[in-house]
Amino acid sequence: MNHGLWIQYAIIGALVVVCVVYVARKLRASAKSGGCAGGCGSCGGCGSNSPH
Amino acid sequence: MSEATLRIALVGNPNCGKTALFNQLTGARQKVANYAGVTVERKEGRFTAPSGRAIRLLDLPGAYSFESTSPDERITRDVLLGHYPGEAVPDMIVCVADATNLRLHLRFVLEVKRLGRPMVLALNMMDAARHRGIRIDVAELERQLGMPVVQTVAVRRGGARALVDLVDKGIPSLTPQPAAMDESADLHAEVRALLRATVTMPHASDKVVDAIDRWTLHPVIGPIILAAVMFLVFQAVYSLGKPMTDAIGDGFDSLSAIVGAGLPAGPLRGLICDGVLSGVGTVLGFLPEILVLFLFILLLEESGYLPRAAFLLDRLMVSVGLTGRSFIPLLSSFACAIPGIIGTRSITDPRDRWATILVAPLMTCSARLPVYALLIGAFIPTTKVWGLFNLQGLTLFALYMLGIVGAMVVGWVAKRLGRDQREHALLMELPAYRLPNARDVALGLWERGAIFLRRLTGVILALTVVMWFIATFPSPPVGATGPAIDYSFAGMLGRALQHVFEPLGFNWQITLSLIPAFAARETAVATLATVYAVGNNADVGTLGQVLTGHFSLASALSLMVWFAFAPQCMSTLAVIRRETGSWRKVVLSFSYMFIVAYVLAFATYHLAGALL
Repeated sequence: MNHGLWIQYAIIGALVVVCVVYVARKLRASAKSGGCAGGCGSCGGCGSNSPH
Repeated sequence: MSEATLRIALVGNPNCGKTALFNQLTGARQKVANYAGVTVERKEGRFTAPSGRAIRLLDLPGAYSFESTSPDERITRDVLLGHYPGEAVPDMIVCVADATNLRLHLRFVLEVKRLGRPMVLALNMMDAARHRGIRIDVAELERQLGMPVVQTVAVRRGGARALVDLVDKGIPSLTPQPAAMDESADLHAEVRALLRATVTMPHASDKVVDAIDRWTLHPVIGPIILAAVMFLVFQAVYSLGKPMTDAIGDGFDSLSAIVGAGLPAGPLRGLICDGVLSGVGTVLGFLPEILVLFLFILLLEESGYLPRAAFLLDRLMVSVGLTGRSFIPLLSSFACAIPGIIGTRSITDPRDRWATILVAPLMTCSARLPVYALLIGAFIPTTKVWGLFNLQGLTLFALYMLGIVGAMVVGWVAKRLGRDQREHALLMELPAYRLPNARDVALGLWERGAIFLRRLTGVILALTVVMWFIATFPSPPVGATGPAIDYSFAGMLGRALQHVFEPLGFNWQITLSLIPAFAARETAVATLATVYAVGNNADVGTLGQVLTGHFSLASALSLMVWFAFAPQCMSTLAVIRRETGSWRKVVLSFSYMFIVAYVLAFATYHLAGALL
């Protein structure tokens, strides 16, 4: 396999890890606060249902 | 916090404009609407007065009295009495009253006055009061109440200047004396005396409002008007939104072709073209339809028509175990079930509140719209019904109605199974009609669009990358004869779960799309786009065209019914846990929706298979 392909695989691998961690953190924060993590707009878009 | 920071609480009856005033003062964008009960939580903001004085502002839920028992009104009472955990008694109270309805609002002003705290009365909506010919002797009102009185128009730029100037001077020297909270005291008599001394009402009532209400609240014509309004909204979603959706889809197809031609062959090109552009681009295409839907919801909210709809539906809702008070939370659930469930705090009765929480996720949230729009666009022809109505718009209307009817059936069953079968009357204030403010509507639409884009570039994009990865790797073994995707993690996972969903007519690709949809519903569309883009080497057109070649109309209808009743997303389950404090209720809520969705999708698939 050439160098270019290895670099592509490395980028994709890193990106997938970042995405998995991001989604997990978002869902964990949402489950902990009982909030929508900014998706539903109940907070006016600030991302938190808790008093701020 | 600095010593000089002044802590001010905004209080008043529901729908008097507290949150509009809060937004005006702090520059926040909390949701406002022309009906009671929008704010159910304590919100905090800060601003700096012209002199440089720092002010911390609390926006409290509307309350009619300190004797109220609903969870949102308790917050207001507890903060003002100093019983709210972690919150000191505010330095000053700004009691907001609707100047067009002082007969109702002054009662709470008098109740707050008895606390003997430094206090200011803000007469809000003074422009509307003047327009209706209501004259208020502000100086006399100030003298009789023994507190400063200022005039405000919270929805107009600079409409709170008098209030800012007043609070900038610090705590007013004119402070009411504390009085005993004597429940037997006739506050109404005091209000009447105040009104006689300070307010001159016009002789004729508002004839236009009365004339409109004669039609909109009519027991027969009223529901027909309501049904017609809803029907037209869903027709408009397709008629106005579809051309823009198609244009965005075409734009992404062209972009994908250009990027694909410019990048060397390899996995990175696959990720960008088949994953990101195909998945995220398909979901983004449904933004116009979402905006059209919200445009109409915002117009209805601003106009003051929605509380009339709640009034009309009260009898029907009570008969199915809900209450007219459920209407506003259920309406919020059309955006997302989360604000709807939080909004149930305005419901006093615990049984009514739980029933509303139980059915709120059945209202079609905006995250489901891309799924419906995709399937309707692909499988339902664009024929006209009776030469007038668009069949696609009718189908969308039917799906929304399916959720509403489902909610009523569930409410009715919950009422029959419950021990407490009492019915609770609705007492609500009908606000005046007003022309929607173009700036507020534009701001509301901007926020909905921004929220959608934030979701798209956050969770949906991240999940799309993950779904592309599992649909691409591992590569097929040497000598493999089937499509490469069959050997991927996605293929294996989809096939493993397919046994559960096969009776509903779902293939493994649909089954796979249900997994990320548990985090965000729109991701089902992105997943289908990615999986089919990875699986098809040749360009076979839009996702809709691809789907028609891969599953039947019966499967599509079954999938639509599944999404109409599908179990809540994870965030909704989390908020149910927070609001009810019970895991048992979370499990109950999830289980009943799963069973209902499964049974109805199964029935739809087999019935449609036999009939169509």
